[in-house]
Amino acid sequence: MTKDNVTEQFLSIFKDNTGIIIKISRAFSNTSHDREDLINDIALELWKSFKKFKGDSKISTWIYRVALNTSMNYKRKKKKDSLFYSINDFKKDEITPWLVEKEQESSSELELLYTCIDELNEINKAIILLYLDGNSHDEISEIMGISKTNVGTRISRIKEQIKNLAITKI
Amino acid sequence: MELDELKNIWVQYDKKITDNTRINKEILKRMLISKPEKRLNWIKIKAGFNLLSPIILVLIIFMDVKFTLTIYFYIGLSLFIALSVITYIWNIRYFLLIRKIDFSDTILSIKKGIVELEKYKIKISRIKYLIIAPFAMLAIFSMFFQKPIFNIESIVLCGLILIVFISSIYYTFKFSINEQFRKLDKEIAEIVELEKES
Repeated sequence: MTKDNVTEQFLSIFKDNTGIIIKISRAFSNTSHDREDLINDIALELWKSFKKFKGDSKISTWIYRVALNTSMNYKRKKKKDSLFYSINDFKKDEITPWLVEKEQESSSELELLYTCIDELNEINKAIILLYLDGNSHDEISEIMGISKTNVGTRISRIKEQIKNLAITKI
Repeated sequence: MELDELKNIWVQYDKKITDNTRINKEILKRMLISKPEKRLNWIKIKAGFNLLSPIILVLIIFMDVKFTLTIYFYIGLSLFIALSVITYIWNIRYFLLIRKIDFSDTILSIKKGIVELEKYKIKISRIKYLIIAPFAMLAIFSMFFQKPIFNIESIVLCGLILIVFISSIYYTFKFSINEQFRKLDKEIAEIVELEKES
């Protein structure tokens, strides 16, 4: 396959799965600057690992893994200089220039949901995002590298946690 | 807020994203090609500099400074080279470990890998601070001065170096390294717990 074909194939996969990247990046970043940066990083990591992707798992599984791993690692790096980034968060409404996201009204329920998700630890955050995206316990287990039973137990716990968090935040 | 309710909000959000997002393929294409190239070039420059830095250092030392080639000089030089080689090997090992990380692995294994890598880096800086740095200073002193000279200037200079060094160690260990270690150990314990549950 030629280089151009590979690029085209990647772009088409990327286009079909942009939603996953936007949702994950929003859950793992607090400012628009961070979000923009994170989306760029995810795109880059996907591109780097695309050449190694042999198709032994579903494309969405691969995208979830790369996006979640990149986001967790990004959050880790950013923790140290979060103050600097909050101060420099000038570009409030912009999104990375290659990803044109039209201005959309964010519902208060969605804001509340993201606030609650943000309070969870990294692993639980990843699990609930996968769950809300409609992945089965099997798929979540494959992406996360934990057992199916563990996924089930965790989802029930997270459900309780979110319920309590939502009550305190309303 | 029930989970079904959350799922509904999420599905609607997903639909909004699909309807409102348009990718500018040309910009993305350029970004994907130019950004890795820039990063790769930067890594190459860094690796090249790291590879050449000992040679450059030796050249500078021999070009600009007149040494008295006594036994102290050779002891200092050997010690300095040995320490540089050790540090160099650690840096290469760290670089190789980073390169091994593949983000398409499972979340748990990457998380564990990264935490262990961070711990390894902190361990190295600990050893560098406590063992390598004092011996490296000793090596440089033996290369430059051979015998200790006791006059006010030299004592003040050594005293100042010592104060800065001790304060830096105190600050790094008390407020930074120990805290980082504690956090990393906690994270590793959580991951091990998760693995056990699996």
